[in-house]
Amino acid sequence: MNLTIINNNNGIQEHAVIPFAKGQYLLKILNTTKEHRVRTGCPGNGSCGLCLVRIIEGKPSPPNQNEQLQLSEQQLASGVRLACQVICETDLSVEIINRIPQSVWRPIPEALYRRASVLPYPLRKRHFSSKEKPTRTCGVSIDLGTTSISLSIFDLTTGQLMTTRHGINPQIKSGLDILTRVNTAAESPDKGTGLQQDLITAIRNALLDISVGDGINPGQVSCLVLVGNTAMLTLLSGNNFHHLLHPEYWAKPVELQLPDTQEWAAQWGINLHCDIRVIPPLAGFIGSDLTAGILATGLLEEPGSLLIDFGTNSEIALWDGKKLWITSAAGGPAFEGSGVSCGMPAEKGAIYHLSLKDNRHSVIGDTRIAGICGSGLVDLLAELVDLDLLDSVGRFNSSTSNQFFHLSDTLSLNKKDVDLLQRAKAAIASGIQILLLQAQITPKDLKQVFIGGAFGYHLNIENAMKIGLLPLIDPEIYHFCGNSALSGCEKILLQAGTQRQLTRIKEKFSIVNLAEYQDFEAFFIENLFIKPMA
Amino acid sequence: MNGLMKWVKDGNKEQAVTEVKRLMDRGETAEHIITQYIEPAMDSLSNKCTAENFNLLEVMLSGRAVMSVMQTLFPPGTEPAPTKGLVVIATLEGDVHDIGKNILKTILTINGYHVIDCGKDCPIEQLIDTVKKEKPFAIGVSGLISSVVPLVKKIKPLLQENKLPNIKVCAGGAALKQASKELLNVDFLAENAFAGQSYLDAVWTREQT
Repeated sequence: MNLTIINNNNGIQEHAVIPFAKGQYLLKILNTTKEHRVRTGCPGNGSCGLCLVRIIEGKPSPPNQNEQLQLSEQQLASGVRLACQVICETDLSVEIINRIPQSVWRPIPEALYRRASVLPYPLRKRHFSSKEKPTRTCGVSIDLGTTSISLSIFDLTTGQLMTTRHGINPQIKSGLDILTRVNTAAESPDKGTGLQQDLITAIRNALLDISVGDGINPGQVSCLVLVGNTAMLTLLSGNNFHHLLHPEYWAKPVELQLPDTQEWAAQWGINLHCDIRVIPPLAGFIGSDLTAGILATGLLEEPGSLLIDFGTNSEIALWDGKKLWITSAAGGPAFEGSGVSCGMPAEKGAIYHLSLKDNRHSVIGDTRIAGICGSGLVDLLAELVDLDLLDSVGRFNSSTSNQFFHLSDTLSLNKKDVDLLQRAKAAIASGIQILLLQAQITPKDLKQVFIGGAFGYHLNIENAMKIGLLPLIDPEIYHFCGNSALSGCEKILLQAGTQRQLTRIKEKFSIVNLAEYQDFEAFFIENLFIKPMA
Repeated sequence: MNGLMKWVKDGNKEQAVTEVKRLMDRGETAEHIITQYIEPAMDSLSNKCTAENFNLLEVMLSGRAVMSVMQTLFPPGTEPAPTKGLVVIATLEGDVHDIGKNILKTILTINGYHVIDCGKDCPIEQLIDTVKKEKPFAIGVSGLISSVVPLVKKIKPLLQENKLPNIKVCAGGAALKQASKELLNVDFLAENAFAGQSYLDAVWTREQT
């Protein structure tokens, strides 16, 4: 039988035909191809609702219970299905709604990439010690994130940036969130090794892509620094990730127990004597990505500095001059566009700014609209409340079309979406408030606030303050710091004296565990309201 | 819609309490107030809370308003005896997020169930001990993080072991909802607290006949 993929590429219809044997799941057939894959966030059991396709022709198995739960009646009526639940019994024509971008590794967009603000570098001396080798040596810095992996490569003789890459973390096929992946890894040694190998392979592929695309020989890499969240680092080391399943470890140190990294060097094709440094995490839920962010922003240089690194789990750090207060707020991936019906990551086709009043919107890549990313969703919430279409509890005004707000024919925000955004916002806002309380600092005393994570770049600060995601203070003190984890990692790679700063962070930090914080629930409920922070 | 019903549905605790006091002054009985205003308000909220329309804050505010109304109607020491069966609820060990469990507790209590709450981060042994001692007709477990899945799977076998095979197990919460009832080895997987209540209502009614 044949599966025809119909791809509408900016108005041009493209067809591709894939032969298949009757009775297979559509997702499985799509996964046999390289270029027609659909996004997934679960092992293909219908629980993530991401693998959206539209059946254009043919008679597949009827929608099952999982699909009826994940899809709206409107979607089902228009032929939208979950690829993992569709059994292919006849020839089919389908459109893939939620595609995985084709090439996995891309240079980090200029706008999202902020080099560590450390130039001119007092460069680390030891890179220049070898007198007999006049050849170029390179250094790599890597940030292992749950959703994506970013890396940059430098010429160590000059300190010049050569190129960057970022791509999707291939572990995503084993689950969107950290705990699902750690749970999978803990099921059997094979699965643990599989997730470890995913990361090692991803780094190899990124270096390969750099080698092909930029002609940089990985054999020249003599120093490599890695940062990441604790789950990624322990899954990479292959040890102790199971501790993360136990809440008592979340605020405790977790040992990485690295294996022989020379084996990694061999797989990556880099110099076998390469100095591989994995920066250890501070605790179970505080990774070295945050340590690097603190380093990159120079947080400990001015009391009253706050860093918020947005993500599925948002890490928050506050320096009061004596102590470095740290927490992690589990807000979920709503601001990364996941779980929200009209949401998508900040990628091509995403609305990143919008104004209902002025009937304006901006789209990443100026292309066909595919969804709304986190910053656009913040704008949308703020505007709906401003226009009295939504109340501060999260209820649509009864005069509007009941439980939906239709932005266009294909994009609508339902009540559950609003609820998810409220919960994400409430978790982060509560984290900020509780840290401020611990440090006995009022929002007005804050001197600088750094916003990290891809979501921050397009974020309209005024709207974020309006909905109560960020404290209502002078917008001028907010600074976007991009992928601060990668900048910090670069600083460790390139700059002398960072070890001392890392030690200082280790001496000064104090973790606040929100899950055990007495009044968390009261803060959380108060922050569910869509209104400026109290 | 009458005043009290509206205030409960809107989750306006202060207005709801003011209104209930006015009704009491007018001589309306507690039973009348509950059946005429509170139950229809909760039913209407429950009907509204489909998978696509659930809003945590809205439900919490209504729940709080109802609890305040109940406390006004029945000051401490005068609470009426539960009219329906006993349910033991818990958030299992490793999970310290219990907002979901607390909502279930409110909804079940309002609906006449006797609820024993084992709290959050509850070891499974403690849950089973409580069940052995109290003999509920059902157990409700809520889980926000997926690390509790293996524990939920153990409940039924442990009940079997303790010769309590007829106790129904109902699960809910963000993490558990992603799984299936077969995988979790439970009798019912609730989309939200209201669905949990409907299930328990059905079981309770069946057991009475």
